[in-house]
Amino acid sequence: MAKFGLDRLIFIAVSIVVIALIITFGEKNNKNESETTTSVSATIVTTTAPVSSTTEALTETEPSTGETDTTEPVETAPVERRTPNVHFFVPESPRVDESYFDDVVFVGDSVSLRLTYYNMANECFGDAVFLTSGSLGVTNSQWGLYEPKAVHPSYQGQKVTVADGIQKCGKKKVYIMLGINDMAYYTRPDLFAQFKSLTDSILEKSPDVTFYIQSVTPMTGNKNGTTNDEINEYNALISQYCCQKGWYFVDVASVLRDENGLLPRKYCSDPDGMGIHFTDAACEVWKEYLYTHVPAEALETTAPSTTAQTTKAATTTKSTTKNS
Amino acid sequence: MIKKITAILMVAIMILSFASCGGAGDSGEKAEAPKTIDLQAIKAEMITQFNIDSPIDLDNDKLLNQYGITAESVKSSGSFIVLTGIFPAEIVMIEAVDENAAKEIKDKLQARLDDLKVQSQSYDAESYSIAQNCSIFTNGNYVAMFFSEHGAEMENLYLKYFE
Repeated sequence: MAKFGLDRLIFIAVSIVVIALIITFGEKNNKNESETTTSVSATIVTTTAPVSSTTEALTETEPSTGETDTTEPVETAPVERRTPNVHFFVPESPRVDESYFDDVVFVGDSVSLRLTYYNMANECFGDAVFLTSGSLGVTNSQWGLYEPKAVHPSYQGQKVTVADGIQKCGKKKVYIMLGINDMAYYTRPDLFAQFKSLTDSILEKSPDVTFYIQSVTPMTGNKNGTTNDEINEYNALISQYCCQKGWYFVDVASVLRDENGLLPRKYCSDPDGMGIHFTDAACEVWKEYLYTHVPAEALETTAPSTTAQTTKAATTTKSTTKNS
Repeated sequence: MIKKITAILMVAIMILSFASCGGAGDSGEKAEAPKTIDLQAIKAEMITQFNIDSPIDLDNDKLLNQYGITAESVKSSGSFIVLTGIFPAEIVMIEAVDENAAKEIKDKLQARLDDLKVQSQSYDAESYSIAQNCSIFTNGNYVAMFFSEHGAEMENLYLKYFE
């Protein structure tokens, strides 16, 4: 019995050791596997693309033409070429300081989106707020907040309509550059009507704001279902409207076009693509234009010594209602 | 006698094995305890590994303006953007102050990612593709998003710190 018990004890002991070893190594392997699994399964929220697509997306690619060319020299004194048929605009003024922009909200599409990030990198516009969004237009900025395909901008992470965003941020100088994304889909009168509707909706919620309407900047060619002539026509229309309403028209496009009326390739981050988006060099020119084209009334509150005057009187009777 | 000695040795081995298992269990528990990850170190490694030029640091103000993430919810961050193309690369790595803050940050990043998809869909195929392949990662109180052409590689680098 004792002998039987001893043998049995040895057998059990050996079995336990073997089982213990199996468990130990098994746990280690399982731990590695489970860690890997946890790392992946517990974290993925939205991946929908197959792995092969992911891999393809990661493949190192040559810099696209859309890349920012930071090596280009910045043109500090670009030539001003007025937008045709625009006779009312904010003329050159003494350069304001950064604090001028503390009360500014920029509203715009993907062109202005670049200025948003330019400002993020260079912190050149004081406390200005940017309500900018890719594909934003005069028309879709008035859509309902949750309409499918709406591309409303965000204010502090919260999606807002332009009118609501301006009201929420409380800024009083509203710089708008919108329209390029609408031109292929709306006639000039329709688009102009939408523009009026947008400004009305903003004023309804923020009656004490002042509009600074920026001219829509040119493309490197006639692209995206529209032409530079159509852009010019639209700019002329809204500049006249600014004159009627006592708002300011800031002809940014005047320093971002070449002798042929096109956006210079050196200013374009996608010259062979859409041909409308900016490089940092273009943003620098844009920024400088805004700093040096401030209406006298606004200058008085920020730089009392200046005497620059806004040329408001030159309203034209020339027809600007040509339809596309 | 030999059998007795063998038995004693076996018992001793068994005891040592149990002790060993016990040790492994302890280390396992430690491994499950929340790790402290140096997000700035990951950021630095990413900048080096992917030759990132002029990253723009996303400080508390920028996290608020860009994503609505408040400073109160952030314990540490290694977030930055890189200006490339129409939509910049957005690398967000945040350690939230607690579980609720982590969930809130995850929701905000998800909203941002959804927004990027809608915005880029009609005219920027490259960014749209990146957005489609992009995900929000959560690991305890750590939340991350890698909206970048190097997204998956960045994810792998990031996850290595949690192993």
